[in-house]
Amino acid sequence: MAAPSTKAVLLSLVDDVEIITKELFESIASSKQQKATGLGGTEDYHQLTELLVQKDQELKDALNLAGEQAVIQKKIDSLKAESFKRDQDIRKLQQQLKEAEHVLSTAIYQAKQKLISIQKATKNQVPSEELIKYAHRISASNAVAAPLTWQPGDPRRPYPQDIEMRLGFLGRQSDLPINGQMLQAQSQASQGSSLSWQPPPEIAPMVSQVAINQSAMSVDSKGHNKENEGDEVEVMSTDSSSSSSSESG
Amino acid sequence: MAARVTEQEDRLRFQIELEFVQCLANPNYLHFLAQRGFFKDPAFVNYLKYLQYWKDPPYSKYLKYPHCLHFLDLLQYESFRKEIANFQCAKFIDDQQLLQWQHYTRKRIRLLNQQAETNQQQLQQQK
Repeated sequence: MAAPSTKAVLLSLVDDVEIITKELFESIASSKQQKATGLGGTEDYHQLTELLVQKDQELKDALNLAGEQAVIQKKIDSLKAESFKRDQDIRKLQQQLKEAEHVLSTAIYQAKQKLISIQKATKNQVPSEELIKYAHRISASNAVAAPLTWQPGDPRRPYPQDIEMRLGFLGRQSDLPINGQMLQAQSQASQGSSLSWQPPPEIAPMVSQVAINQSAMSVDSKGHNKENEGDEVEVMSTDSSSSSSSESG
Repeated sequence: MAARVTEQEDRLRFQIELEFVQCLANPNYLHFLAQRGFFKDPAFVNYLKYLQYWKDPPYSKYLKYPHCLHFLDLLQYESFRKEIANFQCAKFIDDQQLLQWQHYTRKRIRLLNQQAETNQQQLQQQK
């Protein structure tokens, strides 16, 4: 702002008026003392009065300007207040938008997870009947939960045991001795330890043979495995064999 | 004639692999296999990898001991294959498995009760 402010202009004008008025009064006072001069005094008065009137006009203009500027200033203030209000509204909206974004993103995340599980479910459809049948099968043979009467020391276990392995197809493949005597002698000779579980030395080499020969065969669907499992169950526990054998029949 | 022979072979192979993958549920057997050094044989490790097809629903429905699949997963890691050769480790796993097996019925009843209680509380809150 190179131009002087309205306030400064007004003040300088008031100063000017003051000086001129003083001058006027002084000249009036001095003119009383020297009445003789006469004409020269009126000339002086005239000039000073004109100057005073001019300054008064300027003062009025400046006051008008100041009034206009005051109106404009009021407008500016009100606009500023308005913009401040709007800013706060915007900030509030922003916050709400952020909250909404957060809520939506969590919703999308959950929905995506749901979609994934839905896709998984449609891909691997399992009929409920089959599921129930399976549940019956694994619980009837006490494969996942111990019978209620089970006590420490009971030989039943949640996995196939030595004798079952021998009776199974793996054992029959390599003609394992099913009666335990020969086996016991063997394991005592080879191990001589206090293991409660006697490892069948013949199963393992045979298994690796299977692994090597696997390329010669291809996977078949359901075989006579139920019958086979029935055997295992009978060995494992007597109370569950009835339910399993009725299923395989 | 040839077709029937291959079908029989396929059937036998299915049964053998079904049996073997379930034998993996027996920590003592795993310990035995580890001690005999079978887990160091790359062909055998490959076979364990191949056996993972039992995790597919069409096959897994024939498993009587479903937790054998967990052991199958563990056997994919070399650290587990090494560690199971330790008798203490095998014994610990066996004990834990037995304890879980023994207490599973009670544990499940407790879980069901808890769930039922929370459901009831939710219903009451909704009212």
